[in-house]
Amino acid sequence: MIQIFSRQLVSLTLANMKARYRKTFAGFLWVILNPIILYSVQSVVFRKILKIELPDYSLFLLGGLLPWIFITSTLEMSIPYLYNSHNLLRGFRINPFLLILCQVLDNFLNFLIAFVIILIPMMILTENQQSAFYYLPLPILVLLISIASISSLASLMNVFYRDTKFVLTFILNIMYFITPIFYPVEFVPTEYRWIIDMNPLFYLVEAFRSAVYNFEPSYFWMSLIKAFLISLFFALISFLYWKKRKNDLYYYI
Amino acid sequence: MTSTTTSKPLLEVKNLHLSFDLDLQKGHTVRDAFVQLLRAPVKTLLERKNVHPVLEDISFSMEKGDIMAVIGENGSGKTSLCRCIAGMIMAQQGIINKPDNIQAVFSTASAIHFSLTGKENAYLLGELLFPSLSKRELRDVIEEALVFSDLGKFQEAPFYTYSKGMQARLFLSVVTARPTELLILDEVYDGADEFFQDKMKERMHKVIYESGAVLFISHNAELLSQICNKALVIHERKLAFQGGNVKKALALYKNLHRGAYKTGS
Repeated sequence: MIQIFSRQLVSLTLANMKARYRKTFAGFLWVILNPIILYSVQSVVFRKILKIELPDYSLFLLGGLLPWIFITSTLEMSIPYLYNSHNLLRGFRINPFLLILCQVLDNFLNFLIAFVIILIPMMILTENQQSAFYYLPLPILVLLISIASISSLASLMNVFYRDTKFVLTFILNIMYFITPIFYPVEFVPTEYRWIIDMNPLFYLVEAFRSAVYNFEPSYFWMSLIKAFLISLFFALISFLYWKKRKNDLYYYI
Repeated sequence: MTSTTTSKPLLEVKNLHLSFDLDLQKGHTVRDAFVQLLRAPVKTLLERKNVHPVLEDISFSMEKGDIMAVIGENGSGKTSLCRCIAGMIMAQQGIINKPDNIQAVFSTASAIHFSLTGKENAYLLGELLFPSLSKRELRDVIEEALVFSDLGKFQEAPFYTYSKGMQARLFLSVVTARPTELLILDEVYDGADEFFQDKMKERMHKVIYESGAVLFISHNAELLSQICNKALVIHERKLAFQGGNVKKALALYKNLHRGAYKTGS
């Protein structure tokens, strides 16, 4: 059962990538260029114009920006996907979860490519920095589970509430500013810290970044555990929502 | 086509009840729902879900070799019943004992990725429809289906360039490539007659007769009485008829239909 599922998942994900990057090297190049351009602009703005003072700011920014790009691009792609696949879903038996998961995996591979090509050289080139390569798979896995859960939840919601994707894009745009990505959490005054504490996306990003930038074991593990609990929370909510409304899917598409 | 054994039926459906949540009054957007919640919070939260019954107390069974016609008006629950049996939706109540290997087709033209070629889509479709085949077996099955589809060099063209007829030809060629324990065909003939040259009809009949059993939804009375040996009539969510007399079933359906018209007008 699991073997069949994973085989189908791999084939569908590969087909997905093939359809997206078909014959265009530019398509693939975009995977690398997109974070580099975003990173370059933000780096100039925040370091030179807003003058954020932080040692090795480039590594700090990239460590937060890459998981953030992964989160937003995956959500943007997977949320309308279920509704847009109504022909396929109605045509024969296909696990709808499989369709979302292959969108997530497709984006996850982009994230890994950007990670290997941009972030790892940056980690090596930045001197006097404490990075923990070997711990990185853990926050990456937690990030993957969370995003798969949020994507499947929001994608099913989008079938019943067709504007979910607009609302969520709007929320993510706001979240970008209230999530400490281009500024460290220490910059946030104590009276506003509650905003950070309530932000689940912050811990997902922070667990990853704390292994990349200024690694401290106690802080890393604490962030990771919080991120893990958040991923469990979303997985549970998504599971319950799917269980409750999977049937209705076929009447709304 | 008569069943020889009286042992375990191939498919058994017992006291099936199905309903779904229908909130037509409520808005279909997050923003509407939000405004509604602000305007009347208590009412919105306490309001009971508008449960819409689809099927009520359906029981029937099928033996190996049965070709069963499923007859009913549009919206009577035929497709929902087939989706339940195919495992796409879960019934709230009732038991379905079914074989492992079920093939259910509800459309004449589906593609996984419109920008991929017809051939690539055929392989993906094969992998989804026949997951138990090895890579090698799958290749044989798909290559045969591609030859049968007569698409020639269009196999290598993107699926979105296909006409409706070509889409149906490719999809149905793959779907009918292998018999299965239980085959469910939902209106694959209806409205697509023009695509069905004799060759495809023959292949369809072949897979129907080779499969363990077939559930056949169609509005084509002639076809149904020709190939089916059993029939179900679903009327207003309930089973109105089941048995081996397909002609009687069709006549009953006609009567029910006329009756519905009378009361409706």
